[in-house]
Amino acid sequence: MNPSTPSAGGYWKLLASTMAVLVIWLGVLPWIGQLAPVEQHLQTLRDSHVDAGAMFYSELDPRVFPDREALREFLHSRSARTLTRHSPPPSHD
Amino acid sequence: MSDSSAEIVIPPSSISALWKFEDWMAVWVGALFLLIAGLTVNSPPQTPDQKPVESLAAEVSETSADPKSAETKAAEVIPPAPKSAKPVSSLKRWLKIPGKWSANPVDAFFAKDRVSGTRSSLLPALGMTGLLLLIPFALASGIMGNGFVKFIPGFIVMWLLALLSFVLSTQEVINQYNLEYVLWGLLVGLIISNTIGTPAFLKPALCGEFYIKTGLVLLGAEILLGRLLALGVPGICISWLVTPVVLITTFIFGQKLLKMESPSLNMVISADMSVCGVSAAIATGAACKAKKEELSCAVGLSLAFTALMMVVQPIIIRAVGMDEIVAGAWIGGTIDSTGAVAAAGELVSQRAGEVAVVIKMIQNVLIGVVAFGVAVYWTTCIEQETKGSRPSLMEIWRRFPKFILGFVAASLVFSWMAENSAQGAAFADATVGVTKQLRTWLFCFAFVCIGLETHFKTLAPYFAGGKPLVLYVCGQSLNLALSLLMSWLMFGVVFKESVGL
Repeated sequence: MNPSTPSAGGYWKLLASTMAVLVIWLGVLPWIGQLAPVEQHLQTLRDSHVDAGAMFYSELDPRVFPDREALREFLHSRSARTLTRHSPPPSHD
Repeated sequence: MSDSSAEIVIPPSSISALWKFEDWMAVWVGALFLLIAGLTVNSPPQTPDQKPVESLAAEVSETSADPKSAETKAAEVIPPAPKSAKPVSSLKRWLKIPGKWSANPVDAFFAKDRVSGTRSSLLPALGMTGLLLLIPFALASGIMGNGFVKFIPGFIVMWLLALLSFVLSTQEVINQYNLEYVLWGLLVGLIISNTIGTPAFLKPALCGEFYIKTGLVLLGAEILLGRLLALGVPGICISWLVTPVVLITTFIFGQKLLKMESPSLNMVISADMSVCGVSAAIATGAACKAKKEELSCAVGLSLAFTALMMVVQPIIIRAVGMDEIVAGAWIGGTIDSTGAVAAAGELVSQRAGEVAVVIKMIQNVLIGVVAFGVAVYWTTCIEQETKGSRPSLMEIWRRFPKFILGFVAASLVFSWMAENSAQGAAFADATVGVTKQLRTWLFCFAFVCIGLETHFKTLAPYFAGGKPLVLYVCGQSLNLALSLLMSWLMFGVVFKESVGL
């Protein structure tokens, strides 16, 4: 930590860093987000209820988990061939 | 995290350690949050004329010989339960983080109702979240002798910086690559500390380690041990077998072959790469008392490789025509971060995504076991080596990170509740629905603190010589190979029939 009195140079560096962040987040990233493949990918994630930024399983939308019963069947029955959604094991929402 | 120059802090053995020592205070504050969240959970409202399924079943069974079919008929009679029938905490609507946005960051401060489409401001809830965190932490700061009033201005500024970090992380393009809020919290802190310097008035609120330990106690409640068995034998083999083997092998490789100077850096990188990314890095870093720069280094490596792997792995899977179940298990076992696993799995197929998130969920739960194991190993072996003599049991107890006990206790209590009954599971879900928001804020605070206390010059030596990178790449290569082998063995050979391949 550097709690000393900030210099003028420090403020200029802070201003430059802030400008860089603003340009990237308000200009570059929205532009990338509008590119057709990226937009399509983002829409796919939205439609699938996937939050790619989740850190832990409890932060994911419960709908991305397979149904508990279907999962059990899926593992233990030879006839189980499909998994359904909407009744997940973790439902922290 | 430990200060880069500090010695290992050993708590006093007197009873005052229970309120003066940060580890214990983290347990009390975490328990307080869990208690508050639990007390605000409301049972679902029941309309006066609504009869329970059992009594309706009894009525129906009067005309039916088969009670089971009567229950089924009764279930058909009763209209589907409204969404509010699930227990929910009244605090939940007051605890938020900024939402996603694409072009206008102001959108992050509004929530859109899924049904009516109306927008409502998140600012009151964000402010309430800050207040709910401020009061216990300011009180704890006062009790530990660090000052109550002095804590408040620093905390408010840190809350604003954490808010900014969340807004940076919820931009949709950033979010899709799993570049989590911890990275932006670190960046925001680093920009300030390396330009104008960290203002002195922030210092009382810069207790990153305390936020992490409290957040980990709350995370314990999300670690439901019953979910370790979610995939049965294949899940056990892929997650229980591969994960510890990769973790231990990578750690030994780092110590013996790479000769890493810091065993804690080695452990944090090995854990985040083999278990579940940032959350594992935070948990094991706290358990082995890693320095804040070591945690930053490990998190940076993990997020960079996660972003790379979540794009490349689905491409490889498609190119070689890998079976979707094997592919899902491989993705779940190798990509560090949970959200990235879900996104990469979904790129392969819906089924691959489902298998991937279940495998990753098991690994998530494993961090409880891993963090506890690392804490025990560090206290009994690594610190013993440093000290040179064999410590007594009392010495081991004094050195043991006490917050791990809160972390494990929360996990055991909530696991018991979730497995004991459906009501217990619903109650645990409702409580965790609240505390996971608080935990998210606490981890964000922690990384803002780390950034504010770190200078670029102090970070550079941790990347010098490229050993952390070599360790990560070698460990991840082993992880990729072993996970693929085990996924293929389990889902492509042993349980091939049962999964309908």
